[in-house]
Amino acid sequence: MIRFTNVTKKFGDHYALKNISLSIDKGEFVFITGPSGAGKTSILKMIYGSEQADDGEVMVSSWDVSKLGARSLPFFRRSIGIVFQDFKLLSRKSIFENVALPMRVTGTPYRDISTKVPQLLKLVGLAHKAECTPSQLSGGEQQRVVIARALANEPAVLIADEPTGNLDYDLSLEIIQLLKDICARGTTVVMATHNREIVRQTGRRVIRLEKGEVASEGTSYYGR
Amino acid sequence: MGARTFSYLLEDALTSIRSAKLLNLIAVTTIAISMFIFSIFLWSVANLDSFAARISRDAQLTVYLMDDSTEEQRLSLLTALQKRKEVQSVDFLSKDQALEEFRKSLKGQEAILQGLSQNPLPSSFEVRFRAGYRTAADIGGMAGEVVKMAGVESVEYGKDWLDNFARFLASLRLLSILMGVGLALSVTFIVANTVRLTAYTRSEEVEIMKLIGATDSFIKWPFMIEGGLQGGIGAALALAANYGVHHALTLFLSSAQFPLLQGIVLNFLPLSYIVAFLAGGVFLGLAGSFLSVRTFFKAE
Repeated sequence: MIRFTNVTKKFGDHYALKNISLSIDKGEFVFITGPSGAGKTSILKMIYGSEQADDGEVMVSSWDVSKLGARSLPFFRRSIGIVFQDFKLLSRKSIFENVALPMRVTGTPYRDISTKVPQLLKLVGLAHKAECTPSQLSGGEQQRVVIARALANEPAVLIADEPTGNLDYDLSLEIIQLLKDICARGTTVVMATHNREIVRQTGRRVIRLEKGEVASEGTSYYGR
Repeated sequence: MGARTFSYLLEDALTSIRSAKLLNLIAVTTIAISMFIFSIFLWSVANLDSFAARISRDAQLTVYLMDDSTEEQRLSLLTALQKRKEVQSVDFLSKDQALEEFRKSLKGQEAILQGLSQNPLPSSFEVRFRAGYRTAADIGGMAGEVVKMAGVESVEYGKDWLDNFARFLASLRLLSILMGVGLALSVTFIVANTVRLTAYTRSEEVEIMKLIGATDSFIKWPFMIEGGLQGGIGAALALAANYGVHHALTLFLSSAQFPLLQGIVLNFLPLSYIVAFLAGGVFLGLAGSFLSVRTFFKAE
């Protein structure tokens, strides 16, 4: 599903990623962990084509992301869902419209949007908030809206960059449970976090980075 | 782009306008003022054009004949005049008829003619022109040829007046073209800057749209529509203000006490001008926002 082969990324003299090779299977739930500056965000950005590798190959499904041109990039991004720590919701649009946005972009007929969006909002427990604006929602609710938006085009891969970074512990567990449910439905989930407790609680595969290299790789209960 | 997507993008542009009301109000007002000034020039040119067409209907060339011109010379001159493509009609005015007309024009002061021992007025041909040949250049060119013909004393066609009016109209046209170009640049500039400001305030939104897979054109269109609407609304307001001025002047002229002003009929801009003016406004708005989003996306 996702494969990094000898990927290197430099910013000036500093290595963000150093000759990284890793592979994530379809339907897997994988944590990318490590201290700040270890390269977690760089890996995610390369998966969704926001950063290009200086060297090596990044494959996502059948797309060679390391060679994607500007014209193909939007069409590739429609096949993945992204969840951000800072939500990135459109403040002047309603929750309904925010969730509908990826479908608007692909020209989905309104009758399909009007069926799908309530289903997604129900999945994340926010069916009653469709007409609100993001500023009327709590942090945890906003993050659930972002997850609903990321699922709108039924992506094969869901990328989550510190999705619980702005949330308290209980809300974080709720979000993780939601992501596990989504993974159980067949979506590959890749989540970057430095929250050891969350990783311990979840018990999934962990790729730990340090100074741009894979420091360790193992299944569950990392750091105990 | 499908109708469904377009209607969504239009709605998005309207939402954007609503969320930056003051900015858009300032832009539309500035555009309306610039376009109003230009519309007043257009309106003046259109009215002077129709005035010129009206008075040119009376344009004529008087060919004065020598007293000793022969019958044969007159006949050949008449034939030569009638053959020309510019000429609509030729009327002969004999010396006696000329004196009679002059006497009529004196109205009560005919006594001054009593001392004349002989008729000093020459006979003449009054030449009228077909539509399309009633210009100072056409009439003047023909007069230059006719004056050299045998039996012709002189010609008269109100040269100075026609020439001056034609020159005035040409300068006014040139001025309106220059103003049009200046205005086009300023409207484009105003729209480009407003849209750029809107784009900067929405740069995070642009980034989000890119991350969820929106193509550049999907992101750019709401900005383009916003610019087009600004230009179109500005042009419509300018036309409305122009109509207000036109209406007020028409009322003033109809109630004017000065004989000089009576009988002047003002026309509002022809429909073709109105359509072109509105389309021009929309086009300039689109051009301004196109330039703006192009540089904005390059800078991203």
